[in-house]
Amino acid sequence: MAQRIVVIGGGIVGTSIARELIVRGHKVTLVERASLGGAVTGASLACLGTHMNSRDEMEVLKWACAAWADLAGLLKHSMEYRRCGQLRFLDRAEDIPVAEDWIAFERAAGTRSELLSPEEVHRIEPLLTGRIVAATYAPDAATVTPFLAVRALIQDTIARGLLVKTHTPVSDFSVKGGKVTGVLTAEGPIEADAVVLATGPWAPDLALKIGLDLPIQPRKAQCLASVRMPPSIRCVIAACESAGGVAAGYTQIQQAPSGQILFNTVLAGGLSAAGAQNLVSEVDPDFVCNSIRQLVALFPSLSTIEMLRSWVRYEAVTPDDRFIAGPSGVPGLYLAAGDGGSGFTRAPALARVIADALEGALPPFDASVWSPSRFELATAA
Amino acid sequence: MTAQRIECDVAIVGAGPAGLSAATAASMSGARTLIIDAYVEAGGQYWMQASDGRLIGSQAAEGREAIHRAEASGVQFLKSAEVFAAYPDFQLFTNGRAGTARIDCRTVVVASGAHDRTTAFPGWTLPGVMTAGGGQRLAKTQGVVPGMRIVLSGSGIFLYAVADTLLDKGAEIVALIEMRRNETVLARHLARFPERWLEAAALFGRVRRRVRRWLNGRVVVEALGVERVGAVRVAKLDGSGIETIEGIDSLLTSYGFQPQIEVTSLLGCAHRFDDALGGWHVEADPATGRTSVDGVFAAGEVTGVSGARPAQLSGTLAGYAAARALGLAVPPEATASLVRQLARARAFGQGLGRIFAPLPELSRLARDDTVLCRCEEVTVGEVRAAVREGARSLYGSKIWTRAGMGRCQGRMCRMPMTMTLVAATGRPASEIGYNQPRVPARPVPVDAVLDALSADATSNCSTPASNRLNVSPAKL
Amino acid sequence: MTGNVTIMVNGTRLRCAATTTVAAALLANGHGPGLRKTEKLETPRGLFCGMGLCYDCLVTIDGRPGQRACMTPVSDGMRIETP
Repeated sequence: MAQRIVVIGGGIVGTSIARELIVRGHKVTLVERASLGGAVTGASLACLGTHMNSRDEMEVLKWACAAWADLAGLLKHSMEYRRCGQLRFLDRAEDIPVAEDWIAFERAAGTRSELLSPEEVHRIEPLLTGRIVAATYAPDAATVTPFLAVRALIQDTIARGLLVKTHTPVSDFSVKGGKVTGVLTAEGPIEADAVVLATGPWAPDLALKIGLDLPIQPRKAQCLASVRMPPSIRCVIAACESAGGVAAGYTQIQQAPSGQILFNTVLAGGLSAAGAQNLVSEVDPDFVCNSIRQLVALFPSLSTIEMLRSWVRYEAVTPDDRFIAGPSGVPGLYLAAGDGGSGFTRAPALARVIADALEGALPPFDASVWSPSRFELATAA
Repeated sequence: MTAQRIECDVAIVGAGPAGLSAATAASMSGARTLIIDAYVEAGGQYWMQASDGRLIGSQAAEGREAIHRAEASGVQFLKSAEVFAAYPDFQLFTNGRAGTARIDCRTVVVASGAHDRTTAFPGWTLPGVMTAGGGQRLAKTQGVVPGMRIVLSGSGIFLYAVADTLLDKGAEIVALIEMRRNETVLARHLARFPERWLEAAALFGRVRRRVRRWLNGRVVVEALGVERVGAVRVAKLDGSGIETIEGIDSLLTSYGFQPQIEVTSLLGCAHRFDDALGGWHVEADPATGRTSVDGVFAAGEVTGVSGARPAQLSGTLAGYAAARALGLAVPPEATASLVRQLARARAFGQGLGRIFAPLPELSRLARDDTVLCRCEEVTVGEVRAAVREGARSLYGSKIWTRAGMGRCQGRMCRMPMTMTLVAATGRPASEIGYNQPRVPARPVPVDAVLDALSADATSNCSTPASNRLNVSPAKL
Repeated sequence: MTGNVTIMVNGTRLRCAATTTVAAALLANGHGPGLRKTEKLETPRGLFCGMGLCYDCLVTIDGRPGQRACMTPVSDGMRIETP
């Protein structure tokens, strides 16, 4: 049964969901308040992989990574998919057991990763000559260019009949008999059998209109980019997930297909104030300094590269760092938000979860890790 | 750590007519004033000083006087310094040949000026094709002409000013080509400003007598050449009347000026769009230069292109306003009469801006294979394709094509990109948006960025020496 | 202020005024207007905006690539390569 579905949010999550629904024969309208892939998605570094990512979600991640590889081969537009591998550097000996534990877990789950000595690292990544104790290596990690991934999905989906409305903010939902029946925009209402909310850190604002209190808070993440450089860095370079992940301090360095070197260091700063995602903000000077120090510590030969650009994004963080994806509890409304800074890998799996939920089917993996029902969402009012 | 640390009351960004006037006004009011400029010599694009110190022309002489006045009033100069980061807590960071600097100030006057607007047309990337402002700068500061057989093309009286300079230096102006056909409107506008009429009439007369040809209602539709420009094709805007002008070695082009809004953007000021004012410019109160951000003032072309005289007047007003914001007593002449003069001077310049505003037909000069973004070598066709697939704004097209993602940070393609998108989407330029400037406002080596941004706030600070005693410690 | 310096352009010695920019020294001595080839389309580029904003006039100065010829004053012994 073809349904009329409105997807709110034109980031990687929303466009992935829109494509999945179109492929299944539904009539889909994608509504984006600004440019497609222009907010959190465009500001991300789009690393796709399972390594040191999330133990609870290993099954989903494996499925999603395979789906990305399929998509890359399927879509007409290139999204610059590259299986470049990921290196997680260790600069303290006490992190080695943490790394070994992860590797054992990942191997048992059927994914590839290994612990390398600095000499072995050097063979894979010749310019990484800074002092490290060891590094883990996951050869199957990949990247896409985030803008182009959205564009490739959109292009394919428009060809299949998707209706796209950009620069069209949604102001509220239409509700009839307790069921969501569409959305209201400045250009008028859009009727639908179901609505999917995929607006990342902005999801709580709209959810509140229908009495849902999404436990999602913004967290500032910052990035720097150099001018184009000759090939210098092969892998995605990241810090070892030794003490609790992103919130504890995190580095990611990679070279984009354009030649630009992208680097960020999210230092333990915790969550941002509510509404921070609505401010135009610049990178913090301390952050810039720390990022440069980290880059140069690992890659001393890059100490004079020219910095060209910086940007800020606000990730949507949930209490347990996992997405809220599935039926919202309000009939006709489905949720897919709460990226925690790593939404890209998960996007195809989120699309599957939402589409299956809409059709009353079960996804090919256990999606309960994302279930909205793990939180009490309905507000007292 | 080698970053220079400077503490001052008022930091002025840009040492052109607006900046120098603002600096002098602030300093004379007792503020410790620093003026920052990107170039070796102060003066900006209008009061350009020759690099060898020789005085050529009345503008340079006027400029030298203004520089001397600023120096005499106690203004400290930081030259060859480009502002690459600016934070609303009144920290500015610069990089240049003399190293990096961190500036802590209490108010800022942004007088960052403007640069030529250009449009994309086949051949515009060939060596020998330059902006008219670039040719003017080369001739005025270096005494070098960009070529000996030059075509000037675009729109506005500035083309005549550049022709005048280059003719004086011995170059031949093979043709001066003005897009507009607006003699009557222009004459009527000039007649309303008798104080400017004579100057303009003299310039037109002097140049038209000496150029080989001058054409109105024509544009250069293509620059021809392999390793460098050697000829141009000229036609009416509807494509008719095409002819080829051969045997040239230089094409200078300009369609008015575009404000440099990097620093005001980094400081979070509100901006608006008006084609006649150069496109995107910072919103500023005409009487004070006050922007939407407390303590940030703006003066001159960054507030909307209107010429050097309004720049001086708005600079003086903004300099006084910045001093007044610090609680300093400002001389009484900084009042109504300056505001009235500014209104009239702006009416003159902005009227010209309207008369010579770029025509939408210019977007048709580019073919699909014409490079639009010079840095990333993105073609007009690629941008049009992005629009067909759903891009509707400058940002949306940029992220899908890389147009505007290169070293110039979207400055050179701002106008052609905007025109291409207006034509392709049917949306007004104000909704197309612009490339949001971010830190760094110029490409800067990471070691220099680190050097500047990690400089300690307080230790080892230098401050402008004079006027220090004029400011009571309570106000600091 | 005045006086001359010696610079090396692609290995060739050149005398020019000490106060001049690299761009002006090159143009005045018959180098250019093409100063480099672009990376993608390999088309020639030279001085365009002439005021430090377009990054088209990039040359290698004393071994450091990507320097703006229009913004860099010459200095004695400076080595300039235009690839």
